[in-house]
Amino acid sequence: MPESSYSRGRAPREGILASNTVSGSEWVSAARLQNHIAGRGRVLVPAMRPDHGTLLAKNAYTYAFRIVPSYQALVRRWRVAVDCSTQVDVSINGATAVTDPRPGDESPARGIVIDEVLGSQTSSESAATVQITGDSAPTVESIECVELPRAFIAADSNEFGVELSPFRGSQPIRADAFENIYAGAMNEDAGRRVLFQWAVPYMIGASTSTSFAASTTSGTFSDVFDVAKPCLARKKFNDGNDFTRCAARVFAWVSGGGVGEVRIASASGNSSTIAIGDTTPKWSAEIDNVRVLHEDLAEADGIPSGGFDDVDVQFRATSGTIYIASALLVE
Amino acid sequence: MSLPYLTRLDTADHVANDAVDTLAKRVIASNLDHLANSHGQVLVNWSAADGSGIEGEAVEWGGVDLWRSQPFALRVRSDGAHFSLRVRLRGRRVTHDAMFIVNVSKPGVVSPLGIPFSSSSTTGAWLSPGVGFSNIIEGTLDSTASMTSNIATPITLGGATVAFTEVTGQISVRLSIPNGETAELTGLHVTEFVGA
Repeated sequence: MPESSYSRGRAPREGILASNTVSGSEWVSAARLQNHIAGRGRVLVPAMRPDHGTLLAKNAYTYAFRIVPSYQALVRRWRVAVDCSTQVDVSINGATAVTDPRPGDESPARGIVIDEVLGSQTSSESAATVQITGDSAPTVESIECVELPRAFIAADSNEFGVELSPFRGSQPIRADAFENIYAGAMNEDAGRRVLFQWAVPYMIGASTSTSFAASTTSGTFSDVFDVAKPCLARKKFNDGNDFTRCAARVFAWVSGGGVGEVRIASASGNSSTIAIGDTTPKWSAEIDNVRVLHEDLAEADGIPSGGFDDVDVQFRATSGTIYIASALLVE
Repeated sequence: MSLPYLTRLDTADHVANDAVDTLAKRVIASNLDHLANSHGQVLVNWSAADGSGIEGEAVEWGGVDLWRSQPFALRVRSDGAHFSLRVRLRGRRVTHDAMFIVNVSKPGVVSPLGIPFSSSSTTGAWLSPGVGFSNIIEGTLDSTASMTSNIATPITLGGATVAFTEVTGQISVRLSIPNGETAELTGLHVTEFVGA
Protein backbone atom coordinates (compact mmCIF):
# COMPACT_ATOMS: atom_id res chain seq x y z
CA MET A 1 0.00 0.00 0.00
CA PRO A 2 1.49 3.39 -0.98
CA GLU A 3 2.79 5.55 1.84
CA SER A 4 1.39 9.05 2.42
CA SER A 5 4.08 11.18 3.98
CA TYR A 6 3.21 14.23 6.10
CA SER A 7 5.89 16.19 4.24
CA ARG A 8 5.21 17.01 0.65
CA GLY A 9 7.49 16.76 -2.32
CA ARG A 10 7.24 18.57 -5.62
CA ALA A 11 6.17 17.56 -9.08
CA PRO A 12 8.27 19.97 -11.15
CA ARG A 13 7.11 20.98 -14.61
CA GLU A 14 10.49 22.41 -15.50
CA GLY A 15 12.51 20.18 -17.78
CA ILE A 16 9.46 18.35 -19.08
CA LEU A 17 9.78 19.22 -22.75
CA ALA A 18 8.28 17.78 -25.89
CA SER A 19 11.76 17.02 -27.15
CA ASN A 20 12.54 14.81 -24.13
CA THR A 21 11.01 11.73 -22.67
CA VAL A 22 9.54 11.89 -19.16
CA SER A 23 11.68 9.80 -16.87
CA GLY A 24 10.40 7.29 -14.36
CA SER A 25 11.69 9.41 -11.48
CA GLU A 26 9.56 12.36 -12.58
CA TRP A 27 6.49 10.14 -12.46
CA VAL A 28 7.54 8.94 -9.02
CA SER A 29 7.60 12.58 -7.84
CA ALA A 30 4.06 13.06 -9.09
CA ALA A 31 2.94 9.80 -7.49
CA ARG A 32 4.42 10.75 -4.11
CA LEU A 33 2.71 14.13 -4.26
CA GLN A 34 -0.63 12.53 -5.09
CA ASN A 35 -0.26 10.13 -2.13
CA HIS A 36 0.59 13.06 0.13
CA ILE A 37 -2.50 15.03 -0.95
CA ALA A 38 -4.84 12.05 -0.62
CA GLY A 39 -3.76 11.32 2.95
CA ARG A 40 -4.08 14.72 4.61
CA GLY A 41 -7.57 14.64 6.05
CA ARG A 42 -10.11 17.44 6.16
CA VAL A 43 -11.18 19.83 8.90
CA LEU A 44 -14.87 18.95 9.11
CA VAL A 45 -15.84 21.41 11.83
CA PRO A 46 -13.49 24.39 12.08
CA ALA A 47 -13.17 25.35 15.74
CA MET A 48 -16.47 26.96 16.61
CA ARG A 49 -17.53 28.67 19.83
CA PRO A 50 -21.32 28.77 20.27
CA ASP A 51 -22.37 32.34 21.08
CA HIS A 52 -25.11 31.53 23.60
CA GLY A 53 -23.20 31.93 26.85
CA THR A 54 -23.43 29.69 29.91
CA LEU A 55 -25.95 26.82 29.87
CA LEU A 56 -28.01 25.38 32.71
CA ALA A 57 -26.75 22.54 34.85
CA LYS A 58 -27.97 18.96 34.40
CA ASN A 59 -29.62 19.57 31.02
CA ALA A 60 -28.53 17.67 27.90
CA TYR A 61 -28.01 20.16 25.05
CA THR A 62 -27.83 18.77 21.51
CA TYR A 63 -26.15 20.54 18.59
CA ALA A 64 -26.49 19.54 14.91
CA PHE A 65 -23.55 19.45 12.52
CA ARG A 66 -23.23 18.46 8.88
CA ILE A 67 -20.33 16.19 7.90
CA VAL A 68 -18.82 16.59 4.42
CA PRO A 69 -16.17 13.86 4.55
CA SER A 70 -13.32 12.78 2.34
CA TYR A 71 -13.50 9.16 1.26
CA GLN A 72 -10.03 8.41 2.61
CA ALA A 73 -10.93 9.19 6.24
CA LEU A 74 -11.00 6.31 8.74
CA VAL A 75 -11.24 8.24 12.03
CA ARG A 76 -12.92 11.53 12.90
CA ARG A 77 -11.48 13.23 15.96
CA TRP A 78 -13.91 15.43 17.88
CA ARG A 79 -12.87 17.82 20.61
CA VAL A 80 -15.33 19.59 22.82
CA ALA A 81 -13.93 22.15 25.26
CA VAL A 82 -16.24 23.09 28.14
CA ASP A 83 -15.71 25.32 31.19
CA CYS A 84 -17.35 23.52 34.09
CA SER A 85 -16.37 23.13 37.72
CA THR A 86 -17.88 19.65 37.93
CA GLN A 87 -18.49 16.68 35.65
CA VAL A 88 -19.17 17.10 31.93
CA ASP A 89 -20.55 14.39 29.62
CA VAL A 90 -20.18 14.56 25.85
CA SER A 91 -21.83 12.21 23.39
CA ILE A 92 -21.25 12.08 19.63
CA ASN A 93 -24.10 10.81 17.45
CA GLY A 94 -25.88 9.32 20.45
CA ALA A 95 -23.01 7.02 21.41
CA THR A 96 -22.09 6.33 25.02
CA ALA A 97 -21.02 9.59 26.61
CA VAL A 98 -17.42 10.35 27.43
CA THR A 99 -16.98 11.91 30.85
CA ASP A 100 -14.51 14.44 32.16
CA PRO A 101 -14.95 14.44 35.95
CA ARG A 102 -13.64 17.95 36.41
CA PRO A 103 -12.61 19.97 33.34
CA GLY A 104 -12.29 23.16 35.41
CA ASP A 105 -14.06 26.47 35.13
CA GLU A 106 -11.29 28.67 33.82
CA SER A 107 -10.52 29.59 30.22
CA PRO A 108 -9.04 28.17 28.13
CA ALA A 109 -11.09 25.08 28.70
CA ARG A 110 -9.62 21.59 28.67
CA GLY A 111 -10.89 19.61 25.72
CA ILE A 112 -12.66 16.28 25.76
CA VAL A 113 -11.29 14.31 22.81
CA ILE A 114 -13.41 11.59 21.21
CA ASP A 115 -12.26 9.47 18.27
CA GLU A 116 -15.13 8.36 16.08
CA VAL A 117 -13.80 5.23 14.38
CA LEU A 118 -15.72 4.79 11.15
CA GLY A 119 -17.33 1.50 10.17
CA SER A 120 -17.28 2.28 6.48
CA GLN A 121 -15.77 4.78 4.11
CA THR A 122 -17.83 7.32 2.20
CA SER A 123 -17.67 10.75 0.65
CA SER A 124 -21.42 11.22 1.11
CA GLU A 125 -22.64 13.97 3.42
CA SER A 126 -24.31 13.02 6.67
CA ALA A 127 -25.79 14.56 9.80
CA ALA A 128 -24.00 14.47 13.16
CA THR A 129 -24.94 15.50 16.68
CA VAL A 130 -22.97 16.59 19.74
CA GLN A 131 -24.70 16.38 23.12
CA ILE A 132 -23.24 18.20 26.13
CA THR A 133 -24.34 17.87 29.76
CA GLY A 134 -22.72 19.60 32.72
CA ASP A 135 -23.37 18.74 36.36
CA SER A 136 -22.93 22.44 37.03
CA ALA A 137 -23.53 25.29 34.60
CA PRO A 138 -21.24 24.67 31.58
CA THR A 139 -19.86 27.17 29.05
CA VAL A 140 -18.95 25.64 25.70
CA GLU A 141 -15.66 27.15 24.55
CA SER A 142 -15.13 25.19 21.36
CA ILE A 143 -16.42 22.31 19.23
CA GLU A 144 -14.10 20.92 16.54
CA CYS A 145 -13.85 17.88 14.31
CA VAL A 146 -11.01 16.76 12.04
CA GLU A 147 -10.20 13.69 9.99
CA LEU A 148 -7.03 11.97 11.16
CA PRO A 149 -4.35 11.89 8.45
CA ARG A 150 -3.57 8.55 6.79
CA ALA A 151 -0.18 6.89 6.81
CA PHE A 152 -1.01 4.68 3.83
CA ILE A 153 -3.43 5.12 0.95
CA ALA A 154 -4.98 2.26 -1.01
CA ALA A 155 -4.07 2.20 -4.69
CA ASP A 156 -7.65 1.90 -5.86
CA SER A 157 -10.22 4.03 -7.65
CA ASN A 158 -11.68 5.37 -4.39
CA GLU A 159 -8.63 6.46 -2.41
CA PHE A 160 -6.49 7.40 -5.41
CA GLY A 161 -3.23 6.05 -3.97
CA VAL A 162 -0.49 5.50 -6.52
CA GLU A 163 2.00 2.61 -6.40
CA LEU A 164 5.56 3.75 -7.08
CA SER A 165 6.90 0.43 -8.30
CA PRO A 166 5.58 0.65 -11.89
CA PHE A 167 7.74 3.73 -12.50
CA ARG A 168 11.20 2.13 -12.70
CA GLY A 169 13.94 3.68 -14.77
CA SER A 170 14.62 2.09 -18.15
CA GLN A 171 11.47 0.04 -17.92
CA PRO A 172 8.22 0.39 -19.85
CA ILE A 173 5.32 1.91 -17.89
CA ARG A 174 1.90 0.33 -18.25
CA ALA A 175 -1.06 2.59 -18.96
CA ASP A 176 -2.89 1.52 -15.79
CA ALA A 177 -0.04 2.86 -13.66
CA PHE A 178 -1.14 6.39 -14.59
CA GLU A 179 -4.82 6.03 -13.80
CA ASN A 180 -4.83 7.37 -10.24
CA ILE A 181 -2.35 10.13 -11.06
CA TYR A 182 -4.75 11.29 -13.77
CA ALA A 183 -7.71 11.02 -11.41
CA GLY A 184 -5.87 12.69 -8.54
CA ALA A 185 -4.75 15.60 -10.69
CA MET A 186 -8.40 16.43 -11.40
CA ASN A 187 -9.77 15.64 -7.96
CA GLU A 188 -11.27 18.93 -6.75
CA ASP A 189 -12.46 17.13 -3.62
CA ALA A 190 -8.86 16.96 -2.37
CA GLY A 191 -8.35 19.92 -0.08
CA ARG A 192 -12.01 20.90 -0.16
CA ARG A 193 -12.65 23.47 2.56
CA VAL A 194 -15.41 23.65 5.11
CA LEU A 195 -15.60 27.44 5.39
CA PHE A 196 -17.67 27.49 8.58
CA GLN A 197 -20.08 25.54 10.72
CA TRP A 198 -22.30 27.35 13.20
CA ALA A 199 -24.55 25.63 15.73
CA VAL A 200 -26.61 26.31 18.84
CA PRO A 201 -28.68 23.70 20.72
CA TYR A 202 -31.85 22.61 18.96
CA MET A 203 -32.82 20.08 21.60
CA ILE A 204 -32.78 20.12 25.41
CA GLY A 205 -33.20 16.66 26.85
CA ALA A 206 -35.50 14.81 24.48
CA SER A 207 -37.49 17.86 23.39
CA THR A 208 -37.03 20.29 20.55
CA SER A 209 -36.12 23.72 21.89
CA THR A 210 -36.42 27.16 20.33
CA SER A 211 -34.49 28.80 23.20
CA PHE A 212 -31.24 29.23 21.27
CA ALA A 213 -32.15 29.07 17.58
CA ALA A 214 -32.23 32.22 15.50
CA SER A 215 -35.86 32.99 14.69
CA THR A 216 -38.01 35.49 12.87
CA THR A 217 -41.63 36.15 12.01
CA SER A 218 -40.72 39.01 9.69
CA GLY A 219 -41.37 38.85 5.97
CA THR A 220 -38.18 40.83 5.33
CA PHE A 221 -34.82 39.07 5.05
CA SER A 222 -32.53 39.59 8.05
CA ASP A 223 -29.13 38.23 9.14
CA VAL A 224 -28.91 35.08 11.26
CA PHE A 225 -25.45 35.89 12.65
CA ASP A 226 -24.70 38.86 14.90
CA VAL A 227 -21.30 39.04 13.17
CA ALA A 228 -20.80 37.66 9.65
CA LYS A 229 -18.28 34.83 9.18
CA PRO A 230 -15.08 35.70 7.29
CA CYS A 231 -14.46 33.33 4.39
CA LEU A 232 -12.01 32.84 1.53
CA ALA A 233 -12.36 29.83 -0.76
CA ARG A 234 -9.68 28.14 -2.83
CA LYS A 235 -9.02 29.33 -6.35
CA LYS A 236 -9.68 26.28 -8.49
CA PHE A 237 -9.91 27.06 -12.21
CA ASN A 238 -8.71 30.06 -14.20
CA ASP A 239 -12.26 31.00 -15.19
CA GLY A 240 -11.95 34.78 -14.89
CA ASN A 241 -14.05 34.92 -11.74
CA ASP A 242 -12.91 36.30 -8.39
CA PHE A 243 -15.12 33.79 -6.57
CA THR A 244 -15.53 30.04 -6.14
CA ARG A 245 -18.96 28.46 -6.18
CA CYS A 246 -19.76 26.96 -2.76
CA ALA A 247 -22.73 25.21 -1.16
CA ALA A 248 -24.65 25.80 2.07
CA ARG A 249 -27.24 24.06 4.22
CA VAL A 250 -29.15 25.11 7.31
CA PHE A 251 -30.72 23.06 10.09
CA ALA A 252 -34.14 24.67 10.28
CA TRP A 253 -37.84 24.31 10.95
CA VAL A 254 -41.03 26.35 11.10
CA SER A 255 -43.98 26.64 13.47
CA GLY A 256 -47.45 28.11 13.35
CA GLY A 257 -48.20 26.53 10.00
CA GLY A 258 -45.57 28.78 8.54
CA VAL A 259 -43.20 28.74 5.62
CA GLY A 260 -39.74 30.28 5.69
CA GLU A 261 -37.06 31.16 3.18
CA VAL A 262 -33.27 31.11 3.49
CA ARG A 263 -30.46 32.50 1.37
CA ILE A 264 -26.75 33.22 1.75
CA ALA A 265 -25.36 36.74 1.46
CA SER A 266 -21.77 37.23 0.34
CA ALA A 267 -19.68 39.93 -1.32
CA SER A 268 -20.81 38.65 -4.70
CA GLY A 269 -24.49 39.10 -3.83
CA ASN A 270 -27.27 36.87 -2.59
CA SER A 271 -27.65 33.21 -3.43
CA SER A 272 -30.85 31.70 -4.66
CA THR A 273 -33.50 31.10 -2.00
CA ILE A 274 -34.75 27.81 -0.61
CA ALA A 275 -38.03 27.23 1.20
CA ILE A 276 -38.27 25.75 4.71
CA GLY A 277 -41.54 24.01 5.54
CA ASP A 278 -40.64 21.23 7.96
CA THR A 279 -42.18 21.49 11.40
CA THR A 280 -39.41 19.46 13.03
CA PRO A 281 -35.70 20.35 12.90
CA LYS A 282 -34.13 19.06 9.71
CA TRP A 283 -31.19 19.75 7.41
CA SER A 284 -32.37 21.76 4.43
CA ALA A 285 -31.83 21.12 0.76
CA GLU A 286 -28.51 22.36 -0.55
CA ILE A 287 -28.23 26.04 -1.44
CA ASP A 288 -25.87 25.80 -4.38
CA ASN A 289 -23.97 28.39 -6.35
CA VAL A 290 -23.02 30.46 -3.29
CA ARG A 291 -20.30 32.70 -4.67
CA VAL A 292 -17.47 33.23 -2.17
CA LEU A 293 -14.34 35.30 -2.91
CA HIS A 294 -11.30 33.09 -3.43
CA GLU A 295 -7.68 33.47 -2.35
CA ASP A 296 -5.12 35.27 -4.44
CA LEU A 297 -2.03 33.09 -4.28
CA ALA A 298 0.10 35.93 -5.65
CA GLU A 299 -0.49 37.98 -2.48
CA ALA A 300 1.77 37.45 0.53
CA ASP A 301 -1.23 36.77 2.76
CA GLY A 302 -3.51 35.33 0.07
CA ILE A 303 -6.12 38.02 0.72
CA PRO A 304 -7.57 39.28 -2.59
CA SER A 305 -8.10 42.96 -3.37
CA GLY A 306 -11.72 42.59 -2.27
CA GLY A 307 -10.62 41.52 1.21
CA PHE A 308 -12.29 38.77 3.24
CA ASP A 309 -15.74 37.74 2.14
CA ASP A 310 -17.97 38.27 5.18
CA VAL A 311 -20.74 35.72 4.68
CA ASP A 312 -24.08 35.64 6.48
CA VAL A 313 -27.15 33.45 6.41
CA GLN A 314 -30.36 35.40 5.85
CA PHE A 315 -33.90 34.24 6.55
CA ARG A 316 -37.51 35.42 6.54
CA ALA A 317 -40.94 33.98 7.28
CA THR A 318 -43.60 34.26 4.66
CA SER A 319 -45.96 33.03 7.40
CA GLY A 320 -45.55 31.68 10.93
CA THR A 321 -42.05 31.52 12.50
CA ILE A 322 -38.81 30.13 11.06
CA TYR A 323 -36.00 28.80 13.28
CA ILE A 324 -32.36 28.07 12.35
CA ALA A 325 -30.09 26.21 14.79
CA SER A 326 -27.13 25.26 12.54
CA ALA A 327 -25.53 26.31 9.28
CA LEU A 328 -22.74 25.02 7.05
CA LEU A 329 -20.82 26.56 4.16
CA VAL A 330 -18.49 24.33 2.14
CA GLU A 331 -16.74 24.50 -1.23
CA MET B 1 6.58 26.77 -11.30
CA SER B 2 3.10 25.37 -11.26
CA LEU B 3 0.18 27.39 -12.56
CA PRO B 4 -1.88 28.94 -9.71
CA TYR B 5 -5.03 27.10 -10.81
CA LEU B 6 -6.21 23.75 -12.10
CA THR B 7 -6.16 22.89 -15.77
CA ARG B 8 -8.89 20.53 -16.92
CA LEU B 9 -7.83 17.09 -18.06
CA ASP B 10 -10.30 14.86 -19.82
CA THR B 11 -9.64 11.62 -18.00
CA ALA B 12 -11.69 9.85 -20.64
CA ASP B 13 -8.80 10.58 -23.00
CA HIS B 14 -6.68 8.30 -20.90
CA VAL B 15 -7.57 4.86 -22.06
CA ALA B 16 -5.52 1.74 -21.93
CA ASN B 17 -2.51 1.78 -24.22
CA ASP B 18 -2.66 5.49 -25.04
CA ALA B 19 0.69 7.16 -24.82
CA VAL B 20 1.07 9.78 -22.07
CA ASP B 21 2.66 12.78 -23.75
CA THR B 22 4.79 15.44 -22.16
CA LEU B 23 1.98 18.00 -22.30
CA ALA B 24 -0.23 15.73 -20.20
CA LYS B 25 2.66 15.26 -17.76
CA ARG B 26 3.11 19.03 -17.43
CA VAL B 27 -0.58 19.51 -16.72
CA ILE B 28 -0.62 16.67 -14.18
CA ALA B 29 2.44 18.06 -12.39
CA SER B 30 1.00 21.58 -12.34
CA ASN B 31 -2.39 20.42 -11.07
CA LEU B 32 -0.91 18.31 -8.29
CA ASP B 33 1.32 21.18 -7.24
CA HIS B 34 -1.65 23.57 -7.19
CA LEU B 35 -3.77 21.11 -5.20
CA ALA B 36 -0.95 20.69 -2.69
CA ASN B 37 -0.48 24.48 -2.47
CA SER B 38 -4.15 25.30 -2.03
CA HIS B 39 -5.41 22.51 0.21
CA GLY B 40 -4.93 24.48 3.43
CA GLN B 41 -7.93 24.14 5.71
CA VAL B 42 -10.00 26.54 7.76
CA LEU B 43 -8.95 25.73 11.33
CA VAL B 44 -10.96 28.26 13.32
CA ASN B 45 -14.02 30.34 12.42
CA TRP B 46 -16.27 31.83 15.06
CA SER B 47 -17.61 35.25 15.89
CA ALA B 48 -20.01 36.73 18.40
CA ALA B 49 -21.71 39.98 19.31
CA ASP B 50 -20.18 42.26 21.92
CA GLY B 51 -20.98 40.78 25.31
CA SER B 52 -21.22 37.23 23.97
CA GLY B 53 -17.50 36.59 23.48
CA ILE B 54 -14.78 35.60 25.94
CA GLU B 55 -14.12 38.25 28.52
CA GLY B 56 -10.77 37.91 30.25
CA GLU B 57 -9.39 39.56 33.33
CA ALA B 58 -5.68 39.53 33.92
CA VAL B 59 -4.75 38.16 37.32
CA GLU B 60 -1.04 37.88 36.79
CA TRP B 61 1.70 39.83 35.06
CA GLY B 62 1.71 39.32 31.32
CA GLY B 63 -2.01 38.76 30.93
CA VAL B 64 -4.21 35.75 30.62
CA ASP B 65 -4.85 32.88 28.21
CA LEU B 66 -8.28 33.34 26.65
CA TRP B 67 -8.89 30.55 24.16
CA ARG B 68 -7.16 27.49 22.74
CA SER B 69 -7.93 25.09 19.87
CA GLN B 70 -7.25 21.42 19.60
CA PRO B 71 -3.95 20.36 17.99
CA PHE B 72 -4.45 20.45 14.22
CA ALA B 73 -2.34 18.41 11.78
CA LEU B 74 -0.80 21.24 9.77
CA ARG B 75 -0.02 21.02 6.08
CA VAL B 76 3.65 21.19 5.13
CA ARG B 77 5.24 23.03 2.19
CA SER B 78 7.84 21.59 -0.15
CA ASP B 79 10.57 23.52 1.71
CA GLY B 80 9.78 21.56 4.88
CA ALA B 81 8.08 24.36 6.83
CA HIS B 82 4.44 24.09 7.84
CA PHE B 83 1.86 26.20 6.02
CA SER B 84 1.56 29.75 7.27
CA LEU B 85 -1.58 30.68 9.16
CA ARG B 86 -3.72 33.60 8.06
CA VAL B 87 -5.39 35.19 11.10
CA ARG B 88 -8.30 37.56 11.58
CA LEU B 89 -9.25 38.58 15.11
CA ARG B 90 -12.18 40.52 16.52
CA GLY B 91 -12.20 42.08 19.98
CA ARG B 92 -12.70 45.15 22.14
CA ARG B 93 -11.61 46.80 25.35
CA VAL B 94 -13.95 46.54 28.32
CA THR B 95 -12.15 48.38 31.11
CA HIS B 96 -8.76 49.00 29.50
CA ASP B 97 -7.01 49.10 26.10
CA ALA B 98 -6.18 45.54 25.17
CA MET B 99 -3.67 43.58 23.15
CA PHE B 100 -4.66 40.11 21.91
CA ILE B 101 -1.81 37.85 20.81
CA VAL B 102 -2.47 34.90 18.46
CA ASN B 103 0.02 32.09 18.37
CA VAL B 104 0.52 28.59 17.01
CA SER B 105 2.66 26.24 19.05
CA LYS B 106 3.30 22.70 20.16
CA PRO B 107 0.21 21.39 22.01
CA GLY B 108 0.23 22.39 25.67
CA VAL B 109 2.78 25.12 25.22
CA VAL B 110 1.62 28.74 25.02
CA SER B 111 4.14 31.20 23.73
CA PRO B 112 3.85 34.93 24.48
CA LEU B 113 5.05 35.56 20.92
CA GLY B 114 2.70 35.84 17.95
CA ILE B 115 0.65 38.39 16.03
CA PRO B 116 -0.59 41.24 18.26
CA PHE B 117 -3.97 42.86 17.66
CA SER B 118 -4.79 45.95 19.73
CA SER B 119 -8.08 47.62 20.56
CA SER B 120 -8.83 50.88 22.33
CA SER B 121 -12.53 50.88 21.52
CA THR B 122 -15.38 49.47 23.57
CA THR B 123 -17.11 48.56 20.29
CA GLY B 124 -16.02 45.21 18.88
CA ALA B 125 -14.39 45.16 15.44
CA TRP B 126 -12.13 43.01 13.28
CA LEU B 127 -8.73 44.37 14.27
CA SER B 128 -5.62 45.16 12.25
CA PRO B 129 -2.36 43.50 13.24
CA GLY B 130 0.14 45.62 15.14
CA VAL B 131 2.66 47.84 13.35
CA GLY B 132 5.25 45.71 11.59
CA PHE B 133 3.05 42.62 11.58
CA SER B 134 0.87 41.12 8.88
CA ASN B 135 -2.09 38.75 9.20
CA ILE B 136 0.30 35.84 8.66
CA ILE B 137 2.00 33.58 11.21
CA GLU B 138 4.91 32.34 9.13
CA GLY B 139 5.76 28.67 9.09
CA THR B 140 9.47 28.23 9.71
CA LEU B 141 11.71 25.19 9.86
CA ASP B 142 12.28 25.81 13.58
CA SER B 143 8.59 26.08 14.44
CA THR B 144 7.88 23.04 12.29
CA ALA B 145 10.53 21.01 14.06
CA SER B 146 9.17 22.01 17.46
CA MET B 147 5.68 20.79 16.51
CA THR B 148 6.67 17.50 14.87
CA SER B 149 5.60 14.39 16.73
CA ASN B 150 4.10 10.96 16.22
CA ILE B 151 0.39 10.27 16.17
CA ALA B 152 -1.41 6.95 15.89
CA THR B 153 -3.52 6.41 12.80
CA PRO B 154 -5.11 3.22 11.43
CA ILE B 155 -3.65 1.67 8.31
CA THR B 156 -6.96 0.39 6.98
CA LEU B 157 -10.60 0.52 7.98
CA GLY B 158 -10.85 -1.08 11.43
CA GLY B 159 -7.23 -2.17 11.14
CA ALA B 160 -4.19 -1.81 13.31
CA THR B 161 -2.74 1.60 14.01
CA VAL B 162 0.72 2.79 13.14
CA ALA B 163 2.82 5.62 14.52
CA PHE B 164 2.90 8.38 11.96
CA THR B 165 4.89 11.61 11.87
CA GLU B 166 2.80 14.77 11.80
CA VAL B 167 3.21 18.48 12.48
CA THR B 168 0.58 19.34 15.07
CA GLY B 169 -0.06 22.91 16.11
CA GLN B 170 -2.44 24.41 18.62
CA ILE B 171 -3.90 27.89 18.09
CA SER B 172 -4.09 30.05 21.18
CA VAL B 173 -5.14 33.59 22.02
CA ARG B 174 -3.58 35.42 24.94
CA LEU B 175 -4.72 38.74 26.33
CA SER B 176 -2.05 41.18 27.39
CA ILE B 177 -3.54 43.72 29.78
CA PRO B 178 -2.72 45.14 33.24
CA ASN B 179 -3.79 43.20 36.31
CA GLY B 180 -7.44 43.56 37.20
CA GLU B 181 -8.45 44.96 33.81
CA THR B 182 -10.67 43.22 31.25
CA ALA B 183 -11.19 42.96 27.50
CA GLU B 184 -13.28 40.72 25.28
CA LEU B 185 -12.41 38.40 22.39
CA THR B 186 -15.39 38.28 20.00
CA GLY B 187 -14.11 36.44 16.96
CA LEU B 188 -11.28 34.43 15.46
CA HIS B 189 -10.65 33.13 11.97
CA VAL B 190 -7.54 31.06 11.17
CA THR B 191 -6.81 29.40 7.82
CA GLU B 192 -3.77 27.54 6.56
CA PHE B 193 -2.08 29.34 3.68
CA VAL B 194 0.90 28.13 1.67
CA GLY B 195 2.46 31.60 1.42
CA ALA B 196 3.52 33.52 -1.65
